[in-house]
Amino acid sequence: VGMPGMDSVIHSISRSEDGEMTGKVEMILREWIGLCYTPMAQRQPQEALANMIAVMHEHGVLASDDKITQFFRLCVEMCVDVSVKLLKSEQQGAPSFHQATIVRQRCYYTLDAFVKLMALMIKHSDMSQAANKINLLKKLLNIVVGVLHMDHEVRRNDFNAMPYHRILISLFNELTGPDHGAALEQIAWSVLEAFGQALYSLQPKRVPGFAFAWLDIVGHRNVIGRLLANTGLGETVDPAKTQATFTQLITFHFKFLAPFLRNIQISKSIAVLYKGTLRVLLVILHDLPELLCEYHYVFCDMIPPNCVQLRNLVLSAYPRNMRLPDPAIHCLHERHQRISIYTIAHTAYMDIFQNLAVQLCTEGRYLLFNGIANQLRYPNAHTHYFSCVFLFLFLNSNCDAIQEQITRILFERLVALRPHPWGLLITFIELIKNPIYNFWKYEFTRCAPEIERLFQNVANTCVPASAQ
Amino acid sequence: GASPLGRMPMTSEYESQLNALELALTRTPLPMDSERPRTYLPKIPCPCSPYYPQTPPANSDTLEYYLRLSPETLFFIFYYMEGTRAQLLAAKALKKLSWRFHTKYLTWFQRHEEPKHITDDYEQGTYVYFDFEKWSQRKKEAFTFEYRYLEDKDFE
Repeated sequence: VGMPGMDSVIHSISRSEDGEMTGKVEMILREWIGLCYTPMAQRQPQEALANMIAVMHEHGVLASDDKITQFFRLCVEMCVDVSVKLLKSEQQGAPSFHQATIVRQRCYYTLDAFVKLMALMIKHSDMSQAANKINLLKKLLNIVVGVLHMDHEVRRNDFNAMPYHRILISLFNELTGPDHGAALEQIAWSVLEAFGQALYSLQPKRVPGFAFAWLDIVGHRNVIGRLLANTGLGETVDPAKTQATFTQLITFHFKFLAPFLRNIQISKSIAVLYKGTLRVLLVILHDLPELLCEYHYVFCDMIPPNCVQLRNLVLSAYPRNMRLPDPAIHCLHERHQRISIYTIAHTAYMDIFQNLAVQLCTEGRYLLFNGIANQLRYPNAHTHYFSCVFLFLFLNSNCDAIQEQITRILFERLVALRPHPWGLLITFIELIKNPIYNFWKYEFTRCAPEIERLFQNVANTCVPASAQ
Repeated sequence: GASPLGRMPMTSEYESQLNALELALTRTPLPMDSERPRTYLPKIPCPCSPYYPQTPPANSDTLEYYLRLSPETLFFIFYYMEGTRAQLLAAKALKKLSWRFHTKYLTWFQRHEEPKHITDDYEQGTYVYFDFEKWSQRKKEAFTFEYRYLEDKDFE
């Protein structure tokens, strides 16, 4: 829009204004760094802040909304510049572990002071209105996000995520949780929402150079704690909202990874990121399995079908208060159950399944069976129903390709490393144990000696010898 | 591995994403990037032979474990790991071992004998204390421990 060259004119104007401001900002920032580490400021941070605000007023950096924005943008840029220069000097010198730590500590010194300034302003500056606090937080996060985007664009090969990573996670820690939130208790959810929004605009698809730091933040124990366990947030925050926020963030991560995983294009960086993803999911599976139970559709929608272990992890989740029956002993077809391969037959639903199984091509059938297998989880009506659908289709199809594909779907999920979903195990065990399915008579079970051996192995691990 | 859905064409967008990610790999975050700064004991990660333990023993973050440590170890943790859970556990363990913290001298004291005088405001007698400057336990005779300097918060 507008005249050509307009951008550069505006840019140079803001540059010259910046030039005048830069000196002030540098001075103020330096003064604050000196002040905030004194014992006085540690004991009475509010007083230190008041002193600082007086200095800022004196220099007119709080004169208008624009000035405030400009001030903080320059602060972020300065902190980042200092850190990047330090980190670069370390890279050029002889690599020494000790040196690297010292360099990082010097970066933290500047970054932490700046974070402290932001946190104190949000908590205590004379804004009694909660809305003002949240607006200031949003403004500051927007500035950080904006500078990051620009930096990622401009520096490219030299982009370093560290300063932004530190600023965001430290600010999060300062503003959430039991010891820090007293002034913000009423707006605890808005604070979390603002951070969710910032992370949304920094998702790996948009800023791939920030992907590792991003996952580190999303998987940080405090972030998981606040969003999933609602630790230290009291009753002002609705867990359904925080869990949805967290799920959404993980979804963005999967969206980024999916095409590379689907293409089995596992470069070193993808492998590292994938490993990190597994870790975060394992933590959630262990600590908050209900999230995976609740959102398994959403997760499975994102995970490419060839990522068997990732999906098994999601599908293995079951509510913490539930005890799973031993798959080897459990009998799927107890008489009192209303769902069985006999009761589900001859219904309109089954017609659809049968039609799809017969009429789809190999690829379509694979996706169909994948969709069915995604329902085989902990003991519940879905698991029972879809387990029966599989067994029914296996029993009542007159083309071996269907039996082979059902077996393939179950089998490829079982030869993956643990965990295995309970419903998957019982369906497979039923198939190989119950003689009505005549499993071993099919040719595909003996198509290759190594496959046959694998079948026997899986059969032995699933069904202990005593139960066979 | 197989790609049951077939491969997706790699667009230039994916290529540039992958490039940026590959570059970021040389600067992945360190654990300390998201931790509070440690003044005295910064983390200095370095390769360690696999036959050395790579992780601390199980349950070493419990009070029971801290109670098995020597007082010197507990003092070290108390003074050099400021603001951590470890410091909290060390303080709890020291309290259990009948050490008392003096908030004016920032020093731990233990009765060497029954105090000679006990009033509502202070007690007086011979104490052992831990001198964090000389880094050793010392004895102090006829010391008056004023109760207003007694750290008596029940931290949880």
